[in-house]
Amino acid sequence: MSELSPYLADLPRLAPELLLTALALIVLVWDLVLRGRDSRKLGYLTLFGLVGTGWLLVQQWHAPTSTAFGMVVIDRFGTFFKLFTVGALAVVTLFVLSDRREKKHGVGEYFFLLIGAAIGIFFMVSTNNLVLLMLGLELLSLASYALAGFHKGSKRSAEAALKYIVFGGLSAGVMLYGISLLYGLTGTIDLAAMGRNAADGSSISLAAQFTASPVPVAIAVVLVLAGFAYKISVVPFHFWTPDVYEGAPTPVTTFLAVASKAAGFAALLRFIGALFMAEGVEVAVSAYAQRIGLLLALLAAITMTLGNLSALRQTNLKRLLAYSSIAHAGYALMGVAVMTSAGFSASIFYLAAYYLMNLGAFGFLLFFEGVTGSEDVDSLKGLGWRYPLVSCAMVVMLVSLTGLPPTVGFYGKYLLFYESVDAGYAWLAVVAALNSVVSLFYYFRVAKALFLTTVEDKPRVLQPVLTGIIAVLAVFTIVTGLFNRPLQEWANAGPASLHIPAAQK
Amino acid sequence: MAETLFYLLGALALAFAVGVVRARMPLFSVLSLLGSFFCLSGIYLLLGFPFLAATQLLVYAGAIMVLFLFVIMLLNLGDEAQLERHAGLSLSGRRLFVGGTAAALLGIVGLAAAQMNTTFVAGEVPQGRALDDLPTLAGLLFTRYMLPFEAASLLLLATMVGVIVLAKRQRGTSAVEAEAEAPALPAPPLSSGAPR
Amino acid sequence: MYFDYLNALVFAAVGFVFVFANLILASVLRPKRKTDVGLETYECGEETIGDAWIQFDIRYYTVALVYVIFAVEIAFLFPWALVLGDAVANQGAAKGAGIGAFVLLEGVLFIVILFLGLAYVWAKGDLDWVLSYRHSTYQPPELRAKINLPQVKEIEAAQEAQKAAEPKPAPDTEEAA
Repeated sequence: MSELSPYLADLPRLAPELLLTALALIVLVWDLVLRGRDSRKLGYLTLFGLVGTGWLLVQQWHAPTSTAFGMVVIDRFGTFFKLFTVGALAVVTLFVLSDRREKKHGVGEYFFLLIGAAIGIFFMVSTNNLVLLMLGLELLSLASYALAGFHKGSKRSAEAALKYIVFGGLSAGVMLYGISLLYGLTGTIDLAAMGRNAADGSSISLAAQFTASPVPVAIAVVLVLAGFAYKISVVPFHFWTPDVYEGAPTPVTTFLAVASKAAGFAALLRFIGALFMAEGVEVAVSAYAQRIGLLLALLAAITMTLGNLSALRQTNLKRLLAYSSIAHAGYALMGVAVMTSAGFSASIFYLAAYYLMNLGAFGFLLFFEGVTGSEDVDSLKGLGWRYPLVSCAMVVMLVSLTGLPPTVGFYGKYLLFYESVDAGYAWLAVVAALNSVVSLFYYFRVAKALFLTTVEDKPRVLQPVLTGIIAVLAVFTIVTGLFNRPLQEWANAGPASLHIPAAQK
Repeated sequence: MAETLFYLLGALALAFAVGVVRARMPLFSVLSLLGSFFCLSGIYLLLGFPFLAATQLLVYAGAIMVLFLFVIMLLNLGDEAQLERHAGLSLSGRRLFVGGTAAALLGIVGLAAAQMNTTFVAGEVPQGRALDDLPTLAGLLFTRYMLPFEAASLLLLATMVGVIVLAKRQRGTSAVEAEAEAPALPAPPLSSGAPR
Repeated sequence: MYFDYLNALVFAAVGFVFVFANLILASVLRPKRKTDVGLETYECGEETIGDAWIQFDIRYYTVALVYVIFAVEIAFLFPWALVLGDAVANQGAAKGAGIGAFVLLEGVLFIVILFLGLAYVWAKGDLDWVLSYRHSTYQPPELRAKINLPQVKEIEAAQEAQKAAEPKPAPDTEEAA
């Protein structure tokens, strides 16, 4: 068993992934046994499994960094995003269970596909191997395509699935082309190995190839970045976002907007960190890295501006939140663009804030759909006085999304602005600040519709679970904003586990 | 000879690919795509990878082509002319857009090829082994790449479930009832309902 | 090494040429007479009704998709089959102590996961060609809404009317001669 022992020894390190896989298979089989009856049980089982996975992940957080199967890196960076994914998935599962309009659809596959997407995310955020990265990405994408089209009767849902598939297929092809170029250029598909020359000459570092022929390397990297840009819906790869978010069932939209986007960011951070910023990466690429950084900064500025300006014109709350999520992708990209360790930390912190406030905002959207059956901002009128708790929580989310104190969104933006000024991207910070002012207008419009209109007397629709989740998320948004030290320390562990030296500027 | 064949097959594959886009009847598009797949398979053979060539034929030329044919029959696309009114852009506008995008992509690839001063390397293949040594590939697949291999099975499972979810009608609606609901066919209803 | 597969190329070329050579030869040799009967789709069978371009049922699509997935599975299992014997016998590329059982397990796990997919498709009834009679939602025909299938008589009548509206085509000159 001499050659086997390393593989067997690696298996316990993949315990969270294995548990999720087992959970997915059990959910699938149990759904067949239940024959579509009583599929709420599957939701409870999913929640139970997610709690177990979360517990395993907490164990891993305290364990030292290790590698399983030579391609899955178990470090704090990955575990951070995995924990947030599990949390987001648990919230989405609760959303599904309390979605008043979801009753008539079979939800057995719903949970299976959600867990499958989470497994894809787990691989995406924790691998240095481009093959596994691509597989994780595809697992996430394929599950998301099916989830986006889950409402069979709805034309918008079908349109969402189709647009998502077509754009997703195209971008996956572009990304694969970039990966194949990278592999051909360096002789390895391991990101960490691409940074340096191998001792036995089996692979050549990207830096060496860059000095020999810069254009192919640049094209390869840009093609891979295009694939990521699609996943995190950065301009000019954002076209699918509003339509897919609007057409998909609201819990799925939540999952796409929160977990899927953050996973794309995590993979992007790992990719850029390993190729350009990790220790031991040769200096030859640093000039090139600056140019990539400038490109990303430009994309960030365009993305947030376009997202915010488009959101101004929206009357549909779901579309408004979709454009707002594009704008937030632009903010989070600022931290990547500055190409410093502190910038990465700020980006990770902002993504954590993004998880909290968008889960809350989409939860409110679901609540409000359950009450009025509509997604228009106008039909929110007067709801604030009828549902004061949920509406106040939503206002907290809106304040956080705008980036005003004392919320976590404010502190995240503060970190991002500080780091971009520090790295010499003052203009980017100015653009982002202006954008925040613009975003105030449309976020305020929602708050105004809630509270600044007359009260209508109608019977109240009670949705206790949703109310509870939204309230808890609102409390979290404020508490983490006021006491942000622990979250900041966790975010700081990210660049450290990517081997990015702190002093690098 | 090998080089000549490579360029011949490459040119043919490109010509077929253009045919896919240019064909007016969707069915001819599918046939052109089939031709393109065959040419690609020939290129894989030339590069010394018969397994990939066989897989290309089996999966793409076999399974995926069948699927495409069924989809075209399912959507009942007789002629592209019927699609004209559904398109947002005008025909010339779309041609300009597609042509421009294709030209830009080709330009990028050409630029990369022209600037390529380095040789491609392939570090994963052990020294002294040919690339077409399938047992070598299999040995790597089942030891070092076992995790992606198993992940692929999960990916296929999720795909299968997703496909069924997307293709299925609303729960509880059978084929006959769905047809009864859809007033798709122009014939007026007669009192004597024809059994199927 | 490039010419290892020359036979495959020659085979493909001969097959390709064979088809077209025969078609061309036939078109040169055969007499060219256009008669009404000769131009019918089936000279001695049923007359066709409507167009051959009909909408296929979605069930074909489901089956084809499942077929695609299992074709991809074959692509993975072929290397497995190739290496399994070597691994068990502990020789060749998969040499290594005890790797045989491991490789076997990997393959079995792969197949089991995909088999779950097949079980899913089966249990959900997507492999049943006649969907309506097995499920609890089945209603007897008298309770169902009437099915609007195109009526054969109506189509025939419409065709007759169309024929009557058109002027009769002039009889073929060759036939007249």
